[in-house]
Amino acid sequence: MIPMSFAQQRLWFLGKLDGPGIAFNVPMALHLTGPLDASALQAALSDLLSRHESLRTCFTDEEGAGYQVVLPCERAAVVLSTADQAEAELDDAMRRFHSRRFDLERESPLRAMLYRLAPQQHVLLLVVHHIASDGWSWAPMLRDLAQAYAARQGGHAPAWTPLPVQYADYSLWQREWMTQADTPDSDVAQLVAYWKRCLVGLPEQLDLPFDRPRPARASQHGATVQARWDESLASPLRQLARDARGSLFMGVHALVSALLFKLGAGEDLPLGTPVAGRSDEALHDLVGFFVNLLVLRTDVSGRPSFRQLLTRVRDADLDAYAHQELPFERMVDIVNPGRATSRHPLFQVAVILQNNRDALFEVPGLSAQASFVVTETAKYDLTFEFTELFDTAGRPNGLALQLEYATELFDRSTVQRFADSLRHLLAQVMAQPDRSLADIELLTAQERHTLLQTWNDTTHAVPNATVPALFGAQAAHTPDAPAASQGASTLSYRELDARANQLAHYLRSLGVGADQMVGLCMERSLDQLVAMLAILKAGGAYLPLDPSYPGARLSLMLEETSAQLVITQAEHVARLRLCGVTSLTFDDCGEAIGDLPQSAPPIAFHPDHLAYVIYTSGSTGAPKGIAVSHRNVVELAWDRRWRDGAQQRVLMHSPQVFDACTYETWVPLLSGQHVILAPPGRTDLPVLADTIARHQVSALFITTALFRWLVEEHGDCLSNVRTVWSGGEAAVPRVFRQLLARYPHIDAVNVYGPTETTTFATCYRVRAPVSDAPIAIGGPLDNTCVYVLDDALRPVPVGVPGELYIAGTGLARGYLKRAALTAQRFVASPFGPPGQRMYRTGDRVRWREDGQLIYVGRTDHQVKIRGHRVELGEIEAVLARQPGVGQAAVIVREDQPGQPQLVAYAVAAQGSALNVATLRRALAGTMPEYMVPAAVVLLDALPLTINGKLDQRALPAPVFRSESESVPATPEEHALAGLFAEVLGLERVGTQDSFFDLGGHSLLATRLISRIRSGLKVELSIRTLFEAPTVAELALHLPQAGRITRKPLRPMRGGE
Amino acid sequence: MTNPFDNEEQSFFVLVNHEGQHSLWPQFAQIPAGWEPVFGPEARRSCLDYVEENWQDMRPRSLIEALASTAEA
Repeated sequence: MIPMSFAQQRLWFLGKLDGPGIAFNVPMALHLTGPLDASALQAALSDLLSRHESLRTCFTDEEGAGYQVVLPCERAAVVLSTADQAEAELDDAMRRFHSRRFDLERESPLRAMLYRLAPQQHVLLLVVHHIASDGWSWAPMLRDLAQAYAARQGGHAPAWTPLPVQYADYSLWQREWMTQADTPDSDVAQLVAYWKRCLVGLPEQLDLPFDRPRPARASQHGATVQARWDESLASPLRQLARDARGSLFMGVHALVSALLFKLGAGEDLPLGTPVAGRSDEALHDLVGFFVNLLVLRTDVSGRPSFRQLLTRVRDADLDAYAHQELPFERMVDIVNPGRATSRHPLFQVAVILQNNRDALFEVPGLSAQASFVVTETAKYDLTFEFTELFDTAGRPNGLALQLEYATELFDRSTVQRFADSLRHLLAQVMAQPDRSLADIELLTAQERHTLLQTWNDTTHAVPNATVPALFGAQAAHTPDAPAASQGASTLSYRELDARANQLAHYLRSLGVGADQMVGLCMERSLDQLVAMLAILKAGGAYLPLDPSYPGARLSLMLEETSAQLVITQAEHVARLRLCGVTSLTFDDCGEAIGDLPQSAPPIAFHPDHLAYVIYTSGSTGAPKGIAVSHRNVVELAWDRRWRDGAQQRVLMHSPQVFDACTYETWVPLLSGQHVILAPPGRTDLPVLADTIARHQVSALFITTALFRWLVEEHGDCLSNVRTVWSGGEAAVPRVFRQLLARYPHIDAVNVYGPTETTTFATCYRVRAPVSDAPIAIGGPLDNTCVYVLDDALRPVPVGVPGELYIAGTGLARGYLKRAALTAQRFVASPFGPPGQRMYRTGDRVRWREDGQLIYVGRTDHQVKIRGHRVELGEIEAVLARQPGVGQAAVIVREDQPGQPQLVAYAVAAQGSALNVATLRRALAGTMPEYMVPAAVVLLDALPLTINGKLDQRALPAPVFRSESESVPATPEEHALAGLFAEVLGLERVGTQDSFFDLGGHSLLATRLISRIRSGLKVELSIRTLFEAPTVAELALHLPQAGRITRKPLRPMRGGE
Repeated sequence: MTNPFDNEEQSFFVLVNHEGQHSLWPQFAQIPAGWEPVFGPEARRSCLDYVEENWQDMRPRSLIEALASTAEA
């Protein structure tokens, strides 16, 4: 049996893997004008098959090896059917014919159909499977067919010179040749060595501005976009290529590389291109699959000019050509042996300069025009196929460009933009061939205007006033309106104003003044609102402190802000004393302030004075304080988006240290609306749901993860809500879909914003129907401008990922006492009014065609854990500081979908031994709960990639295993152990295992409480779980806990 | 790819605007209107040290001036 060639074998097993497709059906249409002899044509086709064994070869495989079976001439046939065909439906008819799959095991890989449009107008459609031919095969195939036709018309057989070899000979030769690979210094061994060197560290995939994520399995559906460039554009490119001693192909290759670079595909660009693969003259006249694929790897690093790039391309291409004989399949083995993925191996973008001028069908008395039929398939993500055009005199007459693209990855409009950009880029680099590509403008003036101005047209007048001034005016305007409620207690605007004024006088007497920080360490309460407002009225700025933070962190914050005073509640006084700061217990102030004036303290301060400082994780091992001014707060509160009447009753439930509080507090309080406070304590969904329903909350902000659980498990509470803003992490389309299906009247908004730009920067109103595509983060809020920039600080085109920069009046003053850090992140803006700053977010986004932003990812190691910003570097730094730790790495894992968690990896220093429990305790002692890794995994060494970077994929998933052998003894323990295991996704949980040591965190805790409620009909608080985190301990709380009296939810319609 | 502001291998300026706010600025990019270079081109670290030493009062200049005029009045 004859083995398949390497190329055939790859195609064959691709078909086995994905099922027989039509991506490798290659149709060609011959438009024939003149009298046609159909029976001569039929005979000529048979002659063609006789001559070329490849066209009468079937295929089979045995034990993983593919074989060719050459059929004897008499058993092989191509039946030429003829049909009358209206020209209008010709394309459809042809599509039906060429999209039929070949059964390569049984039928010959060539099919033909003759369409009669008119007596002397025919179209001969030939469809050949790629396994038996290639682009270069068309010339001998059409030539031989024409000769045979002419001969048969004359009544005799074609008088051909016999072919020197057949495809089978080539396959056998190739197989034998490749056995030399193991012989050192052989040709093949040298080729393998070259490609090994060339392909080392090849990027796994070229990141193009895809419209959709890559599906698990490519369907190879494709489409094309066409363009034509005049000779006036093409000729300078030809000339430049000549100047660089290169070919036109190298010119278009460099141009495509430049475009991909400008589209954000990186600096290391592997492109594929076919080469004829007919190095032996004996193969020239054969029909067969000889074509080989080369990987042309272009290095665009170091800011080269186009001329420099062209030289690099020429050198790389020449090198690759010199080693073109190694079959592509072997190159794949070198880099990525035996791994099938949804993307094309080694390269996903191809560049081709087509030259099919030789494919002619010349018969006397018949005029023939050959044309490739456009198929709706795509072999690669993107193929740039250029064809040189010539005028009638044979002079160059421009270039035709056909862009074939995978329709599951790209929209037509996107690929059309690529084609337009390529032309624009060509004009630019021809005008300035020596200018760095990084500085070449890919955008047209109009595109630039749209990106920078049209989509940033957000100016809206905001009062030049402080928060207390505006609140005071509001209180005077609506003194009796309810300002804030918690449970059964309510404060009117008058009461809130009066109490805050009294406390403010008292704070003044204690020395609080402008730009002075006052700690605020109180549970969520009306008192806390009074304190917040009082601090501002005294001229100071509040510094929210979470009492659950470790003392070290609280001390650091108090020290850095020079806060002399903390307003708190009795239970936290002892902790704060340890931090060396004066505590003012709110309840104790009562007497001291009772006699103070109820009017505002008469102090003048400025909208640029600070209103608050919020700390977030910092990458260098210490948190950083973001200093936000009154102007910033007013700017957010004055946004027109709050003026639609939906903010009547705004839920306040976010932890104080979270800047969502700025929205929850000041949007309602500066506009006469009503703040509804959730009860104090940690987030407890049922309690939250109850607050929302009971107080008829009309508007709320909720973090992504909580939003999901609220909608999925407590959707009932949202029936009277008018608007839900959700954000903090990537939005989950399913959740929005579910919400809008149930409550079409709700304004559901996906919102984005770093604390540095005051809570919210962009937002997007989600409307039904919600697809699975990523939900946009939308466009800028009032007085906010957003810029998506590349590494040269230039705006990137629509669809191309870049870093998001935000400018406008929401920009905070900076990082408190961190001038250098501020100067790196709040930087000069080249786009706004002179002297304006913009904040560099570290977030990667891209513009959608309709001017909405899509979030892409982070540029650094900042992550979001349950809505909190976390710098992995901070945790790593703290971990690395622990005694005995040599190396440390912290990553986010999502081993259970939808449940990202922090996992730390530590390598012991030489001669040291590490203990996981000790390390976790040490981390918990310095960082807030959400920053403490769910697991610490000890390793002998950190796995590295070939480039010496941390190989994240090689880091093992933590195994959360029950450490406790003790088995449940009582029915309560049995039930709880089952629920623990279910919520944590574990097989079993022992009674002494702590929920939090097994990967549990505050949100999972909420879920467990909810499962206990539904499963055991017992109402437990989250706090109970934190205090009794093991099955055994929690079981003790069951009998005392309230038996639930609420009826379980069940279908209420129909049936009974 | 590294953000141009984080690239240790580049040279930078320190720019200052009318509010006395400081900005690191990569040498390759054109200096935006309304900003003046006060230091550099120098290594990134030197620029950041300059900022730490010279931008002590991070309040915007308009605020400082407004306060001064209030105090005088």
